[in-house]
Amino acid sequence: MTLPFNFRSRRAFLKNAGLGCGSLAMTSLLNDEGILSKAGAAEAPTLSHTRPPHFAPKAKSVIWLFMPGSPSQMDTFDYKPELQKRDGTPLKGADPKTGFFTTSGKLLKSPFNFKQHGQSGAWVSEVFPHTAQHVDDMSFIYSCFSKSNNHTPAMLEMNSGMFLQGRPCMGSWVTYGLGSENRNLPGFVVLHGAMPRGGKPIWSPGFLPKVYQPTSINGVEPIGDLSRRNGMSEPQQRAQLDILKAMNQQHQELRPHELDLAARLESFELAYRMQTAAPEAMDVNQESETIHKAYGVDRAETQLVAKQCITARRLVERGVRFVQLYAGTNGGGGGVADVPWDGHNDIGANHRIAAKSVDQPIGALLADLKSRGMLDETLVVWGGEFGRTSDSQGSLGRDHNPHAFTMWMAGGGIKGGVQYGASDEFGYKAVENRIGVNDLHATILHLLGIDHTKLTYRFNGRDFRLTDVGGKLINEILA
Amino acid sequence: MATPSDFGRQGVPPTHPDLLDFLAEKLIRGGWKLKPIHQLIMNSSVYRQSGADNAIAAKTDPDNKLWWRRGAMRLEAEVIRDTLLSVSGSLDKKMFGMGSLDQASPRRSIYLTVKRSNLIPILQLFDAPDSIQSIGHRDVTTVPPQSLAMMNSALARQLAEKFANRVHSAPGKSIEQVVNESYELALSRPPTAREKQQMISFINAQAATYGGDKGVELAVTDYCQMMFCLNEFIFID
Repeated sequence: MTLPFNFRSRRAFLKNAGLGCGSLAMTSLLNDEGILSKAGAAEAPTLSHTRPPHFAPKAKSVIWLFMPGSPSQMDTFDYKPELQKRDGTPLKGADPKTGFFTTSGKLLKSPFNFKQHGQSGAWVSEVFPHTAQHVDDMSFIYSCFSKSNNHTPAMLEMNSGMFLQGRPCMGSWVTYGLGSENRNLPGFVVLHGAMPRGGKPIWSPGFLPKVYQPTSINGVEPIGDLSRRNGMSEPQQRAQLDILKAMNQQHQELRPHELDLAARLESFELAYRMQTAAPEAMDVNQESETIHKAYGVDRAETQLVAKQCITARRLVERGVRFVQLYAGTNGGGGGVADVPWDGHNDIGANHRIAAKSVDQPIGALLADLKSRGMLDETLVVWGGEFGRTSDSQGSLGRDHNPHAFTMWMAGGGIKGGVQYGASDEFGYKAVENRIGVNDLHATILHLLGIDHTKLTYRFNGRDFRLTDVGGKLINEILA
Repeated sequence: MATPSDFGRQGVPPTHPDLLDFLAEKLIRGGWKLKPIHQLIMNSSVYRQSGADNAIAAKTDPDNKLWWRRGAMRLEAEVIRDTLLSVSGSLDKKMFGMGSLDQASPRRSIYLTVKRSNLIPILQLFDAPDSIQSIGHRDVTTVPPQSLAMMNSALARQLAEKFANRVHSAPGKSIEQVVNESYELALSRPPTAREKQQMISFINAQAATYGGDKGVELAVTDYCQMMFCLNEFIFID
């Protein structure tokens, strides 16, 4: 077999192959089907539809369960007995301007009961009974911090490493680095309910070529332009594409050096096949009733996230590289649709509703991945964009807090039952083994077989990295 | 100049430095006016040459760095959209006034508002920059979502309907006339005898599958939409 890359430069590679998740696949198809050689291309690129990682990966795919609005660490996984005891007393060193509004400076205990679970004895709040069953497969990181106390910049940072617009998000970097395994599906998919705060720029490919932008699906409507217009039958569209193909081939024969033309010719065929492959991948109705019940498709409060989680599993099963799922709904109360976890007024009421919408689906997803033998190769990431304050906003709410929050990861090369790092005794600030977003990114890339210092893209005269000049591997959570 | 945003040590040196100096001097002496420079470049024999193959040149300069042929160039996103509007006969040439965020607006793409949080889908699809940071060079990508938009989007279909209406509205017009006229409008050339025959038989066969009074109209629309999808339509050489 020839080496998958024989381009002189990445730029030439991009220009000639017009690659990307789809196009990488496409170029491979062109080779498979002899189109490039038929077109008489002088230097037919020989590349497979995946790109080699830097070293053997532990995870093939990522499912990132993003909790927009940000769950509170001390009400979910970071149990703080001191906080429970000292409810209503002043928080020493409290900065009322930590969050977006103003906080009281008085400690607010969690309204929830905590219990230890599994062999590892991880503490989990009562709002996550299903998720709690999987703590022995998880590594908890209690010492995360980020840089912004406002949703949109914090989401940008969590996704792209930078709190301003314009940088590529992680899913784009990963598909740029590794390509896609499925010829007929995009490599990077975003599943969301209400459009999260910050909108599409939070999952932008930034300065990377547009081919690395995600296909975003809002949970209700199908992928854009994926179905034939009403009134046109499949044979009618086939006939239309056949004459197009014949014309484009005649045009191509006179221009043997133009690889772009051959690539575009094939892209129509790929698009035609996607019309069947993508709806099939997205069709949760093909799953059994047992699966539907396990995820909670049958109940109103869990339905949206259940369907998203099933879809995520189906996509990963079919070789989609990176699925980011924006989970949680306001469930008719307690939160705002685009930031469902944003418990400013009443953390108890808000988190009960938000957690209910995600807990059963996430528990079922982990169980389902495990029973199918997919968890080993699928990295599941859970978390929001920052944490929440230990002191109260108003009497019952919590404001934003970038100084400490908890994330967990499971599967795909993650050691199970690990509790890493620590926040202070009230969960206000990360104090031990502090983990920034660059460190999370470096670790996730590592699990995918990518050295974060070597995944670069030259833009405006310099090489950019997802981790910029930072990023430290969290070795303690690696299996 | 392969790295237009990097003239420094990390950039790629220009292939024709003397030519660049000559053009720079022309530009300065001409009072920094761009149009005469464009005219000079576009009237040059290099710019006007064809994309014809040349076995020796292809071997010595496979990347065409020395411009021994005219490479096929994909139109830019804005130009693709403007061309669709123009060919379908729906372009509104009005100048000035408010911009729009509606990609279906009949005005030129320069009148589409750039809003960072609400970028124009069809422009994004064809590699328009996101306007957050300046770029020296636009990517040219070829991806299935572009094809899906041309095949299935409401916008592409509506413009195809307008194009079909433009070439097929007069009563008693033959399919041959429709093909001739649409080729002139879309590709600025008459069809070859072979193309004409292929297109006519496609339209007739497609009309038969639709049947009824509307059969021919639908078939001509399918044909017009297919013309928008031709490589010749968005690659110039």
